[in-house]
Amino acid sequence: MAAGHRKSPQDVRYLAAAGTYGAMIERLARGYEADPGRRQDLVQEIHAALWRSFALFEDQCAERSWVHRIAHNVGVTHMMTGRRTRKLPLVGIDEIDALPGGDNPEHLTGDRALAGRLLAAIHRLKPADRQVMLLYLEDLTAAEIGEVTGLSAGAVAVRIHRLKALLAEPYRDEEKRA
Amino acid sequence: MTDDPVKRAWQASVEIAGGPALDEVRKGADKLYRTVRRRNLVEYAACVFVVIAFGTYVFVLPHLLQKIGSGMIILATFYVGWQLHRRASAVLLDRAGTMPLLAFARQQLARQRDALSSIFWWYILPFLPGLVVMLIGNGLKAETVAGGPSVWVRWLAFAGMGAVLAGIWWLNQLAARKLQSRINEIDVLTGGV
Repeated sequence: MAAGHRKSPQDVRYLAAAGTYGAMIERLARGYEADPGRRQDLVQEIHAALWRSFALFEDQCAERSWVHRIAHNVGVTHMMTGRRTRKLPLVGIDEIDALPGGDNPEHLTGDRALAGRLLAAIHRLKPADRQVMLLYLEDLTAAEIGEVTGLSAGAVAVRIHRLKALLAEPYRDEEKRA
Repeated sequence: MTDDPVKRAWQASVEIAGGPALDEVRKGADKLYRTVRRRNLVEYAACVFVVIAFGTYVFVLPHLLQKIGSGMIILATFYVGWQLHRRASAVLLDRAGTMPLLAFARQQLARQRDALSSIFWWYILPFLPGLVVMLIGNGLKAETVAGGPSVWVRWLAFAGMGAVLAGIWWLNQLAARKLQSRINEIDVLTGGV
């Protein structure tokens, strides 16, 4: 911290939020950017936008919702305006039958491998479905997901139902093999 | 920590991550602002070019109507620049936290759609009076008529200009329709309209 800079209330709120949500922001950035170099830029952009946004934050909503909204907005903007390297078209959650990598038995075990498969699925999703999946994995409730995204209760319920089925698939496969 | 093994695996993929240093964040925010400002400046640079070019015409062109037409085009450029700023300038995401993601996205898309669909009124029409006055002045100047191309070539050039403007209008209507279909998708997702 450079000398001469006193911490404003905006700084204090930002620093507290960065401490609480720093890991979430990193995970979210992984969901929007596969390239490690560009992902680091995205993380920096999210933090910059978050710091700026705290000048306007007056408890209009839960801090958690605020942080998720800012972070996802930066993520989607990055995704839509950044360099396009994807080979496959983006799809809806209902168009993914199984998590990628399920045909490789070595991929079925271990948290790290599962996180990798989740990430591969997330990278295939259109923005609205990607947001729901990322928020669901961050353990937000259906009501919170609705508050952050603005999706109708019905639309959230349908997507969570589909997600649960999709995410149960690795365990069904393990049971079959057992 | 959640009981759900899938969520646990996801959250364990990155467990500890502090933010960058505050000075770095502040610098990043300045950079973000500068990037947005630069993007807007590029749009205004075209306006400056038009003002310089037609400002020169005011002094160089011989006929009074040509001078008046050039002046009118300069005024139209200022008006269009202001409208460009009002309707289509790049925005920062500072207010993105105040509303749900889809509501914010819809607001941005609707702003762009409105700018594109009304482009005739704020981007094309303001230039037309000046162009017409310039063309009349060009036609009235005896030396220009004598030394320049024949009348039908002048009309062809005039028609070509009209076709370019019509093309700009048509392309923008197509883009506005695409944005509208994205807005409709959001309305379905949010249960609106």
